[in-house]
Amino acid sequence: MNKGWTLLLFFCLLFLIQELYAQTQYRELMWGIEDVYYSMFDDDNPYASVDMLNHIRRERFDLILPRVMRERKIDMWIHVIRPWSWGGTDPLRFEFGSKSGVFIFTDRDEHRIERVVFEGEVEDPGAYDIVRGESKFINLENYEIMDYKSENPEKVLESELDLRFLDLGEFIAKRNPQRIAVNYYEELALPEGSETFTMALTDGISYTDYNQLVKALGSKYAKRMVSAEYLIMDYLSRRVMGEVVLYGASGALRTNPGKLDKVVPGVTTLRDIGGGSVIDRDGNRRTGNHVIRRGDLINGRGGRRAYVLLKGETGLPPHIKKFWEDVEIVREILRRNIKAGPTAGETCDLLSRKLEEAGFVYIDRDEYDKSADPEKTQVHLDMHAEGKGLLAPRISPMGPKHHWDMKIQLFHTFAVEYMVHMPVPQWNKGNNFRGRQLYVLIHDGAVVTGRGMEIPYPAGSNEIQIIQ
Amino acid sequence: MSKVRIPFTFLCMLLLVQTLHARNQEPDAHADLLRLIRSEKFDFILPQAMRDNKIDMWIHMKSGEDPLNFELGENPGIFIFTDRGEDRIERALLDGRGDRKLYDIFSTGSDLPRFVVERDPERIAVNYSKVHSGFNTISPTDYTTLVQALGDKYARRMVPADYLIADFLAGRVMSEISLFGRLSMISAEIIEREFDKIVPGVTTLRDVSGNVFVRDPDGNENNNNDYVIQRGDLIGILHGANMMDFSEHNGGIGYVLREGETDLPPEVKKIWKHALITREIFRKNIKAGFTGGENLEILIRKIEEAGYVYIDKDQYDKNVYPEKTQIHIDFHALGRLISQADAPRISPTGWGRDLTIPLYHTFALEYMIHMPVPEWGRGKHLYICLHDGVILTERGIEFPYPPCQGIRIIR
Repeated sequence: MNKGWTLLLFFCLLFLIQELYAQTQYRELMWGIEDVYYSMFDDDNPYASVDMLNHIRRERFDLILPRVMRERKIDMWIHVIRPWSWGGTDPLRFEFGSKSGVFIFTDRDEHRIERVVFEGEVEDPGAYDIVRGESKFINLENYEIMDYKSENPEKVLESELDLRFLDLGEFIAKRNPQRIAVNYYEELALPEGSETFTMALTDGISYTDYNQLVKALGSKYAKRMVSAEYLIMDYLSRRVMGEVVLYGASGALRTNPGKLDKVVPGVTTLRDIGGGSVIDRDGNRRTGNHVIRRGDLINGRGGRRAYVLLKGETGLPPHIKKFWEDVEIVREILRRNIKAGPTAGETCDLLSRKLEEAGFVYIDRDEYDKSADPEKTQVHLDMHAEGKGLLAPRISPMGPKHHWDMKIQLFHTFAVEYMVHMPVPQWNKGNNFRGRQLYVLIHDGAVVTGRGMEIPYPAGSNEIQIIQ
Repeated sequence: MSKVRIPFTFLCMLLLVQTLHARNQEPDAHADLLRLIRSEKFDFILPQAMRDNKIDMWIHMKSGEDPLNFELGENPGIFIFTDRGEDRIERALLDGRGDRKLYDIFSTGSDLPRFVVERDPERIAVNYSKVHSGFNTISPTDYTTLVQALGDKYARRMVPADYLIADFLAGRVMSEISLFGRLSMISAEIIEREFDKIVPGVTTLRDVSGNVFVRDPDGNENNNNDYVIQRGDLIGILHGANMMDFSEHNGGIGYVLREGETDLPPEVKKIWKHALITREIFRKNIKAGFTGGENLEILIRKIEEAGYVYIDKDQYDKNVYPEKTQIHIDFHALGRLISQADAPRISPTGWGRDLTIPLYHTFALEYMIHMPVPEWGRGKHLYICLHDGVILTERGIEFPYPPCQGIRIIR
């Protein structure tokens, strides 16, 4: 019996360790680029496996890259990520599956773009046509550089900095591109070419690398260099179906927060339900360790919303019912009017007009406007791109100009983020507005298809639960 | 000691089971997801399907097991969808229980005659079929009751709903596509695990889960039987994953190395190259808006231009060019069990050949390659079956998850 238990215990432990190890391998396999995950690629999304991420990269090379290069009339795109930027912030690290290298994409064929890693190592070599690998001269202390110099005395370089771009001029001359996009800025402002908060800019090339590249290209081709800023923004803002799948999966994992079934009025606090805020029966906003009372409208974490009935009430009171009807009318207006094709700015203008036509007041800040018609509900919009850190295109009065100027593309994934402020006359005696209003921030996800705006995962904010 | 050991062992087992469960859990049929899919299909697919089929009203008399359980719910009732000329289709449910958020009108069956007269539809689709049994779900009693309730004038306007139902089921919204991708990833993982089980000379096809098959060089197939897997075999496994009636299945291929082999032999590498070449042909040439049959004609021309022989049966044809590789195609719909047979289908067989391939159609890129190996003798050949789930977008075929990446080596 003892032997049996010991064996059982041993095998259980063995299998358990194997399983746990298999799960930790995920990060190891995504060497060096794990810190570029955001949203759909978060490593707590079990569907964002290494195979899936590699697959998405290849699909993007197949389906997105030729389009954006041709739209921008670019024959060759050279993207340089400094070799010493481990932990750096280039926004293309995931796209290329690498943290350092010289990446060259050339439009040479009707159907696809040639993909070359001229210098550098990549996570998924199969995604490229040529991978030269990391330069063996990258470490100037190794013997290869000594051997190279002695074997090629006629090729002695002016500077050892040149080694990373060795033979690049010849490679480019063979392809003879007319317009060569390189990752530096010419027109966009820093916020326009940036990713959310921490991610780098579209001018990731260093001053030194730029000079080396100009030298390697020679004056003929250096003159053909243009900024890749718009190309990069276009490339990052488009989606393939694999990304829509991951976006839907990560959204489905984030939502479904469960019901607020265990709230006991007068006993349960906001902290007991994981935080959030309430608007009480007099219109006061309460947070912290507030004890939930009858008449409270709860805005719980994860989009959980509930109303605690007052004694004698059997359903939502009229002002909350009207408020939620307004929230749903706004959602329907967004849904019917967001399409692929127009720019984010044009879409924002259209939506503000449609909202006003429907009797709402559109506000360009998420603050109740005391000077507007006190009978009307006010709506603010901030429908930014979602899924990969980049906020553009952004259907919002906020953000930099280029983010409004970008067109809404097919399969654009974005946050259905809007804020509704509804005045409640009985809270403001004698027309003396005291800042009390019903307020909600909705933040769900959507995808733009050829049919319009579709919802890929259940919204977290579909209804107000009633607590007896 | 045993007081410690027993709980410790129990805990380890519990952790192990939880860990395994978390990794391969199929998505739950959560009420919010079901409601979302139903709502989106009513909003996006239903108007198009009704207008494409020139239907003003669709009456679905549902009493028992029904292919529309996923879309309409499992409860019986009279579901009536009316095109009243606006952006959306009016949804009514008589004599049934349903989601109040999804339906505009709830009423009793006795209201049916008045309801129809008020809307005065020209063409009323009802769930019967004259040519196909899959959607012939109305019971004889319900049919008679309906005819009586409608009266002569409207009963004469009744037409079969089979094509409408097929189009409604075949249409995919983004929430379904996300689910489709997730299920595909789960089935791909399961297939990998099934390959892990194989011990050459010991494991039988029956020991492996799924649709498991091996063909010999003459094309004779062993399928899920007691055949013991041998070195040199090319094994195909098809396996599925599902959430209620929403399902997906895809395939993998494995080769069992012979003694002394360290890599795939040249002929196996060659057949995989054919798989990739033909995959690319299919990817570039399938278009929405054409019927399954029309798409098939285009593909046949393209693969023959590329030097292959198209065969309309999944059997090696000894009467054609002996040096040419032969390709069979069966791109059936995926996503719903019923719609695999009764949906647009790019294939030489099946009712769905005449149906139009819609945008965002999810289907199996299922094709079979029969490659002659002349050095083995006349008529001897290798066989593989590719089976990956895909979606058709404005850009062409897209893979929502990693398709089969190669022939797996089994040592």
